Amino acid sequence: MANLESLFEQWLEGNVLNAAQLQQLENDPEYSALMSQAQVWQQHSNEYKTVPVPQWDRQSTMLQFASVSVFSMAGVWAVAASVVVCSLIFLVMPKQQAPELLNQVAKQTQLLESQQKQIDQLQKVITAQNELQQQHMYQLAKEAIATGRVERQEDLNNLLTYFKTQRAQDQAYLRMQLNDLAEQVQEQPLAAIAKN
Amino acid sequence: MFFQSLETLIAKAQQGNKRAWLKLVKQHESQVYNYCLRMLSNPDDAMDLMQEVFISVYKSLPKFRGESSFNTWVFQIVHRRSVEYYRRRKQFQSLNEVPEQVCEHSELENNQLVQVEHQQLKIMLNNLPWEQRLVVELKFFQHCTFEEIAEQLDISINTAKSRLYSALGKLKVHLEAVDG
Repeated sequence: MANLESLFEQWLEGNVLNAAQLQQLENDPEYSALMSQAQVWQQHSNEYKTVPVPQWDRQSTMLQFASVSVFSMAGVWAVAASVVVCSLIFLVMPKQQAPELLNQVAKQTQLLESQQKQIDQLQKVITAQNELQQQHMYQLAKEAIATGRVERQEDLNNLLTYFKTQRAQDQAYLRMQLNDLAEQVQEQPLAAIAKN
Repeated sequence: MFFQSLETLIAKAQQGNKRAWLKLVKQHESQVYNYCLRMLSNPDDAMDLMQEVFISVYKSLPKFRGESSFNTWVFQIVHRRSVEYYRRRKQFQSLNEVPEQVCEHSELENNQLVQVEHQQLKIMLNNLPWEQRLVVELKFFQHCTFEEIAEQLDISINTAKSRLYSALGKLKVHLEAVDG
């Protein structure tokens, strides 16, 4: 039997069996049936006509992973661009306008620095807000889990109480029935009791 | 110049090359779609599942290290996604309640025959529990060995064998019922 099983496995794996081995399998009713059923599947597989894929948007598979937003780095880019523009103006303009330009550049730089500080502060506020929100969410989730646990515990307690009540009632009922039977047995004359 | 090996395409797609990724999708979509169609018996569901599969493949692509063949790796994802999809869909309707679909290529001459064959196959596959259907698909349509089936489905070789034998037994019952 084990030999037949191994032969059948070899046949299923696509190994070529000799005529005697094949005959051995075909002579066994169980394996012969399994072979013919496997052949039905093989036939379906061989004759399967590939269905053409309908038109679809292949690019949609990439949509969810768009690159990181450029706007998140807007502050840094703005500062860098301003510095480059100021440097260009300073280099390109004639020399006589240099002191005035220097003043303007200094003012611009101060303005940019103060803006950068504001951006940094805002980012700190946002980060703090996010952390706070996460903490709140964590607390909420914890409370929800705890409430669920308490409710489940209460439900289980109710169920247990119900079981206990049921069991007590069943026992009382059985006791009554047993008492009834005992009374009936006692009331019967001795002659009516079967003698074994 | 125009031909690129699979390895090159994978490497380029891993670096974020859009064209390489789309080429990879095109190369594998037919195999994946037909698999989904056989497993779910419904073209719309098959399309949905195929899309989900390729999104997953794209997402996991940076993790592909070439330890197994790309095809095997893709089909491991296909199996996982299809099981999830099947469980999700099972909550709403059973497979037998799926309405029959009208083929879009009815103008083809041999289409009637193809449809009848597909219909028979669909009935036979729908007759099997999901786990057995997976093993039949891998054994007879993907031509995997028992070892490969076990590896792809993360089960033992003996479990793979017993699932296939049970599926063959169910076919016997089905054929007997059909023959009367």
